[in-house]
Amino acid sequence: MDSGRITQVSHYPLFLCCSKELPLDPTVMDEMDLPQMKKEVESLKYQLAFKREKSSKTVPDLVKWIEEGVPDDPFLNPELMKANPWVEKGKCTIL
Amino acid sequence: MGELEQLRQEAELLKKQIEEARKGVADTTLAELTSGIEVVGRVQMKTRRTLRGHLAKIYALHWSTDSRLMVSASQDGKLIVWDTYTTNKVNAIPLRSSWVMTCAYAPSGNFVACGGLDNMCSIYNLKTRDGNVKVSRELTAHSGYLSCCRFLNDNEIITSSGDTTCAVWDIETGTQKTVFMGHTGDCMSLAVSPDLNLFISGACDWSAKLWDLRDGNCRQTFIGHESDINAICFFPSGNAICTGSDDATCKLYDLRSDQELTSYSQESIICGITSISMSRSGRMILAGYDDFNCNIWDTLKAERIGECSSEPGHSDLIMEPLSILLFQVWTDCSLPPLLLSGVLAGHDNRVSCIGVNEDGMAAATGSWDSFLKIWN
Repeated sequence: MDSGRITQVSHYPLFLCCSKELPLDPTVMDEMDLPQMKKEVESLKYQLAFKREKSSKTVPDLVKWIEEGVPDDPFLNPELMKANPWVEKGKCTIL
Repeated sequence: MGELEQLRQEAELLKKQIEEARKGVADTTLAELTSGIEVVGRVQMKTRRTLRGHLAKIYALHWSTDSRLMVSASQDGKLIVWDTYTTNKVNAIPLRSSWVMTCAYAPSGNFVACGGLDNMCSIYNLKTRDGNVKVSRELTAHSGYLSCCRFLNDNEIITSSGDTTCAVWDIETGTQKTVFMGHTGDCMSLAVSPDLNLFISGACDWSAKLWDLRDGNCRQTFIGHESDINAICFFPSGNAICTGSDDATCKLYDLRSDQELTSYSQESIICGITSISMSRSGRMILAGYDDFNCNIWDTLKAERIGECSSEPGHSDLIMEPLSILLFQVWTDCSLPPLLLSGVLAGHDNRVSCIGVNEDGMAAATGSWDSFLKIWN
């Protein structure tokens, strides 16, 4: 990869070091070089162009989706959990 | 003014404009819309199975699409494919590198994959003619650790890496078809949309990004977390995402209005989230924390409604054959009590990873103490 990039040693997984170090400062734009910065600007323009819908439309849709799905959610509908494959029905276990 | 400085200013301006655009569509809140909805009743999950076999901390698990088989990866350098109904080990796969951080089950059930500090994604064929599981490909190109991987199909897999990129690979040729660049910190986790057209990544730059698999573009970037995002999942409809962070909160982001809807946190919870999954309807969020607890949240009301933990005083181990044997040995002759107490007592479930299966019938947790548990 680019030689100018910072190696993020602080983010090696937990089993290598006792705890993660202080969070990375997100203003890493200061360390980007010209090609990276050009790509970042292009990406931001593309993301700005996204057609956002009003939350008064999208959030009720989300809530409705959940409410319609609850009857099919085994964690919330005990009827469905009656057919629990991890619980033996009757005295014998079918192997 | 140099070109670099101009670009930096342009980027700052664009970010401000994106924030303005978000505010422009924020004409309601989740809290307002759910004020009339009751909180889900307290959830009591019971351990249905304990899967024993690994010899060290479980790092990752992934359900098969059949909602019965599951693959787990452990620091002991093994992948184990489990039949969760019977607790039988279908496959025990020794890995070339024991520093594994992630594993994945192909939707077809034909392959599993894993990777970690070896910077590679290794693909294993479970259905070889002679019945022996074999490495079928080693995908090398990342210059950092492999934090997560997910199959799109038997020939395509998505990976996220500590080198800050994600990639889609053609497994047959072993090459990266598309590289997704844009994160400025290690990518820690990824999830694929239900329609397989998009995926999301969470990173150490405190942001989550939504990527288009067809054109390679970053469609949206979700900010708000105040530390690394370790865990990420799609809301089951594909229209929202859920993140878990070192800042001790989970957040729900709505894709269509491009904003954060709510945060799941409590003053008493001060440690990071390491894994996250949702129930089938999306009404519940199950999150694994750094203190090894697993909290269950009501997605709509942002309240904690339960946890996956063994009830104090109730030792479900008493019912299991191993402990019955040990108990008998203990009463017949003297065994060091320490040996016994390690098995019978203190089986707190210390969660390092979590996943709800496709039919929503169970949650699996992988534990620091090398066991996996199935709950419902």
